[in-house]
Amino acid sequence: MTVTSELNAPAGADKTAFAGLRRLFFQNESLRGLVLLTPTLVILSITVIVPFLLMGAMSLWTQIGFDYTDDWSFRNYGIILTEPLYTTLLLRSLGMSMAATLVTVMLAYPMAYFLAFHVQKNKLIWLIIITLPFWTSYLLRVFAWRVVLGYEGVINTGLMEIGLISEPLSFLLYSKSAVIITLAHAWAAFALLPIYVSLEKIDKSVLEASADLGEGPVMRFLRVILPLSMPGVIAGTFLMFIPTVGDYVTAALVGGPDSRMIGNLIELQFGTVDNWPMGAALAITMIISITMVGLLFMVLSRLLKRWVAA
Amino acid sequence: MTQDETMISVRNIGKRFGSVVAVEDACFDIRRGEFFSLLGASGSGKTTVLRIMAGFEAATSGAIFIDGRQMDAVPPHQRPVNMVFQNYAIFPHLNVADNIGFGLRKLKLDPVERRRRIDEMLELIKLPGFGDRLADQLSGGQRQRVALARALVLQPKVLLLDEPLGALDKQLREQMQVELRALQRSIGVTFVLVTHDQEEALTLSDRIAVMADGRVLQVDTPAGLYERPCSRQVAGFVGNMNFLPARVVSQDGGSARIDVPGLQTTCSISAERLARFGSDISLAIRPERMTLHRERPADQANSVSGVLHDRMYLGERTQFQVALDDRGTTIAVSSSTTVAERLGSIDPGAQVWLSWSEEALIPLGND
Repeated sequence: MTVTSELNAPAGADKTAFAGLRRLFFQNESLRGLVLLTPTLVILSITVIVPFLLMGAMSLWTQIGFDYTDDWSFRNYGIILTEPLYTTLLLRSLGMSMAATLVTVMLAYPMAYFLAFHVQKNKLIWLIIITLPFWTSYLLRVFAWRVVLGYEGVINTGLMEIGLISEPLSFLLYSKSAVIITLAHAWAAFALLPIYVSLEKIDKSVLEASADLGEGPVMRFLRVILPLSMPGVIAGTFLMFIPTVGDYVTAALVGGPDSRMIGNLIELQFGTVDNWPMGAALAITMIISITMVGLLFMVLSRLLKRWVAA
Repeated sequence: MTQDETMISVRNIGKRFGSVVAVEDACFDIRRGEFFSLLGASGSGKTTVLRIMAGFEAATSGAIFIDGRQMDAVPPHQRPVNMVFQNYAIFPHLNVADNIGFGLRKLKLDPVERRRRIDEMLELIKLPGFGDRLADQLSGGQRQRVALARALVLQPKVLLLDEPLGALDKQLREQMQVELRALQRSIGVTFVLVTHDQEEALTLSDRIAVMADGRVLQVDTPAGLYERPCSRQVAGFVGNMNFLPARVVSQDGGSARIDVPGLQTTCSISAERLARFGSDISLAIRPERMTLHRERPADQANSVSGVLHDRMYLGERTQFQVALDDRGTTIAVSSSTTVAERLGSIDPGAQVWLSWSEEALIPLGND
């Protein structure tokens, strides 16, 4: 009997300590929040924050031959800002991304609108169809556009078949427009889904109220639907714009010499050119530029929303 | 009624959703400056009629005229009516002032005049200084007022109200009823109110249309509906009512003798009130039209004895349930509590007498 009770004693003590922790966990809201956030925070700091800081540090080094000097300087940034090649590529990337984002948002909005307001049944099936391209690999989708846009591709042979053109159009593939079309298609769902969600959330009686208060369909859209779906449009724009600026696979596969993007250059710095500090500086510059464009976009959309609704 | 007095004319309106009949052959007129209510349980078609007036639903058959103009082909944004929605439908992205000013865009007012009209409305709904608040900073009652102001600022010919007080608690609802009534009186706009709350309809309205199963049963003043319901359905829906089976035994010129087994009596009623019914009818009597006695009353013709079943204290009124001697018919009798107190305490099980005046008996069909 004594043996058993001795064995049981520490187990009982453990149990109460555990119960105490348990109580603390369920009573303290901020502790609970921290505990729940911990896995994310750990993963984020290991995979994002630390590499980001390392890259920031590396961008301040200088490559000499096969070695780095680790004296800190902004030399790389100076080169990026003065050398026309870098600024051209950066501005071109931002411009092409903006174009692709604009095209996608403009095309996605009507689709999302249709889904939110006119599809009554089987919305899930429509959503699956729209996200279907995401079930295949990104590379596969880019290659598919080569087949469509190529010199002997679907469009060229089709147009020649019906006699609209006599020889293949060469500007279709390996051009800026090819990159923009491919990006727009590849990222469509990222723009569409947030817009759909924000449209779906709009209370239908608010639309009836605006009709009741004397507004026809166009003004109803501009004064009520558009401002209320703006959060979705902004989210969709960012979700598409941010990753496409740095995209390099698309430009490498369907782009021509005039459509190389900043991502291609960064890839070169880390690869063939083997100038990691310069690559890091370019990446940081790109991140800062995206942030600035994003902030500008947010300010503009807020102003636009206020102006349209009042 | 002359054309000038009529604001809305509903002519044989019918509405089907697929195979479901929402409204059937609705036909009534609403007068200029009137507070008119559509009263009915949910699913009675009252909201559908209102939405047809606003233009959000198209009638399957029939026509609707507002201020003499046929409306069927006119879209909602061109109708001279404005609506207060059930959930208020306040624009969440606009502040109170811009919500109220939403419909003013078309008037192309200069900013000063626009501001003046909005402030005037804020004053009217007793929310001055609330212009900069957002919708989610308002309480239910305040939202309701903003919805009202947003519609009234456009000076509509008709204001449509879809259960506007349904979401408010009892205290606030009663206060808003008083305010709504006073507002309608002061601005003189025709109000059309949809409600399922018969008390609300009786309190607010000049006239009420009672609807059930898509049909308009009766259109009358509150007193008319209450005192002279045209059917059992209306009588049962508006206020409390006792129903007793009765039989027409003889008809003699202008009056008919009716045998009421439950009350162990016969009574005479003018024949024209019976014209539409057969010989088996119902007699209806309001609980407050009966008087409870401890002793047998002097007028023996219009009295009956029974056993007190239950006594319920309802505040200003007290209600008695009395089981009549025959077949256990139970009758509700209601009297003001001060009168009930004068009777002293009567225990359930005691014998009591009921009396009534013959005019209080309402003959109704057995439908």
